[in-house]
Amino acid sequence: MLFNSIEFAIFLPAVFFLYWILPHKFRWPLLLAASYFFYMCWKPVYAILILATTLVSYSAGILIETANSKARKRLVIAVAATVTLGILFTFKYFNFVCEAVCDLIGVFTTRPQPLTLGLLLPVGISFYTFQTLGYIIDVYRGTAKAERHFGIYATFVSFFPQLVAGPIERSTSLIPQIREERRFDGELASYGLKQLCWGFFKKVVIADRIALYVAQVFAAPESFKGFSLLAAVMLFTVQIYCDFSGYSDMAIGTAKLLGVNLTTNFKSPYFAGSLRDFWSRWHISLSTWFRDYVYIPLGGNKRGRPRQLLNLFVTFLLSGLWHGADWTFIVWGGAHGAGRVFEELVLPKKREFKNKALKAVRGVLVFLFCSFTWIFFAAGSLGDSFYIIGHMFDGIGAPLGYVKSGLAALGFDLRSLVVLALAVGLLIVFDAFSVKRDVIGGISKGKLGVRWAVYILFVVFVIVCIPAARGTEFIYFRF
Amino acid sequence: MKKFLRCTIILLAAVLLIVGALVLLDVFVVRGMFQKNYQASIVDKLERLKSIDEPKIILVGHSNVAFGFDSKRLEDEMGMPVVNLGLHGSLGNTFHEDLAKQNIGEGDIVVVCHTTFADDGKIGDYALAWITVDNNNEIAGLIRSEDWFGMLAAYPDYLCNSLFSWITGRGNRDSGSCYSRTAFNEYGDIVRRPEELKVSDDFFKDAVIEIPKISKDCIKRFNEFCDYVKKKGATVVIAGYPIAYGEYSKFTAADFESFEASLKASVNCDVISHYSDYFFPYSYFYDTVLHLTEEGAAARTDRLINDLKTWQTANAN
Repeated sequence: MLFNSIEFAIFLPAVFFLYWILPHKFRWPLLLAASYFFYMCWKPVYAILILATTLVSYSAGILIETANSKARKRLVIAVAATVTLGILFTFKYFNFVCEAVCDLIGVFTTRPQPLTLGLLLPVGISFYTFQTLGYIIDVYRGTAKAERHFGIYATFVSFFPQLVAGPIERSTSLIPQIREERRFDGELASYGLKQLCWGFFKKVVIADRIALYVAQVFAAPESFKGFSLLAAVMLFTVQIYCDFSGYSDMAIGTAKLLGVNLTTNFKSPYFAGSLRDFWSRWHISLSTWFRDYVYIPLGGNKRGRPRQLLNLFVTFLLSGLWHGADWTFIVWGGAHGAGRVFEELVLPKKREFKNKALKAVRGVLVFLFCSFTWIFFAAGSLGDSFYIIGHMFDGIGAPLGYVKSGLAALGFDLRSLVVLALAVGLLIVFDAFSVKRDVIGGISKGKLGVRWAVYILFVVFVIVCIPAARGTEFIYFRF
Repeated sequence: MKKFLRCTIILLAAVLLIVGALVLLDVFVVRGMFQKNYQASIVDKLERLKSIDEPKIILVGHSNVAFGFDSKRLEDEMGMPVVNLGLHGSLGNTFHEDLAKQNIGEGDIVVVCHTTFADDGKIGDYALAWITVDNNNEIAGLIRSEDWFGMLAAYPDYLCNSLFSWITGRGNRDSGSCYSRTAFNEYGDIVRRPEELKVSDDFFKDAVIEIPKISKDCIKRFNEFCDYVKKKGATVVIAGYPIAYGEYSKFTAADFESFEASLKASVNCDVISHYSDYFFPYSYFYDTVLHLTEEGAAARTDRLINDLKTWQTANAN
């Protein structure tokens, strides 16, 4: 079930009313049932995988906590991690690894036919695997208590607002919220509804409209050249942000309607002044996950400068691989890793630019670097990525013709350009203010007439600007 | 909770009020901004269909029909008036068949040139369907209940498009290309084929030309259409559509013969063409793999004339 579907527009109010009508003791069973129903709308049989991951991590948590020796704790965590990551590996990485091994053998002798599993990638598998893995590690470290109530734990793993594309929640934050009795908070619900609408706007009005033009380019880049490739790259930069942060906003907004606060996942990332800053604003729940469970265990910055830089690079490589089983994602992760290493070497932490112009230049450079690396993220293969890079400036010698023919090749009409310009303009203003303020909270505290005018005009704008071709999946569902 | 619900309902009511006002503006003031584009040719085609009560030939299908016949030539050879009802593939098979149903009389020959028999009967592009309807109640009546939800979902896009065209004064402009209402003659055939849309052989390198598929549901719907036509005293026949054939073709005549045999065994009407007779050289096509040049349209029309005459002779015997 997609957040931007009619089914969800029926499902959410139904869950919302039932949730607040029911006594507290029935709320977690309702959330659990709703979450499994939500997931099973996609492919019922894959609910078994969530259940298996839940059972393994639940048992592991208790076993780790009750184990009387460090060695036994280690054994349990090793087994649990092997099982949960094994499921992830089988469904997500097996084919890729087999092909890579066969390619490697092919370098020396005849390339064998790779063994491939015809398995459909379960939606959200990377998210709930990491969430449960984080829980097991926290219990092992003693920073979280093992949850004894299986129902509440299962609700934590499968909580439908964040099940398929995050934010990746920590048990210490989400489990208490599921367990404790809460009264309806009108302000929180109102905030949630507004955030849900803002996320819907980003996904449906911006990301889905951009997808109409960009998808064709990344599906067959060789059919395009010049500005159409450059425009597709720049537009994808906006699309991926609106698609993913739109999902996060909808997830957080939905959870708020149920009285639950989820982790903030995006903070105006394209206003970042450095890559370090970018990753503290983009997919925050994943960045902090990798920081806490990969970078720091690798030694972080405690084992000398060279080791710190290596740790940084390895963490980003793994982050790339987390996104997808393809060389393109590894290159994407590697590029960001290399970028961060470069930054650490050239821009020492304490030396900040005080000159505003220089700060702005740095922001633009970070934005361009991110846009460039998205090429690998969006393209179907490394070959496609290099084609795009090699041909996106073809014909730039005649700038007017370069732009005109590029836009025509993408199939842009004036209306789409105007709608997109207005929508992206609104997004930029919102994000610019969000750097230092809570925009939704700010509007909510505005004068009655003004804030209602904003709400009404915004919703009308969203309705009128909904593109006909929509209902498309969120990009991060693939991960 | 009560306050939250009250505020949400007030907001929704206010939004509905404004959107409702915009809809009224579109219906009563803006009134059709797409009356000069390709989709609007349906109005003229339907008018011609309704104006002919004598036995006629009705050409039914997607754009391969609209952009691929010389109806005058067909009329002269067959001695029956011809109506070309071809429009756009995204409207689906059923829409085109329902269009023909608007005036089928005794003695009519309904020539169906579908490129697929695995169509789900639904409209494929609802935004395009709205542009086709464009404030025309008669065309709106052709939208089936199965498509209402999709149409409703696509309405905002049409509304935005319509209002934008009105505000910017860009509505009802003749584009001058082949995709405009004035590019079609009184029969409903394309007569304006801009030179710049001609394609080279390379165009067919990556072109997807598939062997048509057959689905049970589609055949069931189509046979119901055949029964309807028979009840009206008319006849349905299936004829070939133009198939670009050349050095890049990934299919053979045998593939289409196999499809033809399956089709003949499934439908309640005659399949009068051999699809392989409709293999045309690349030079006969322009803009898409289904649109024909003047030369191509003439050749295709000759094939159909031959098929129809052969079929009539066989039936007479």
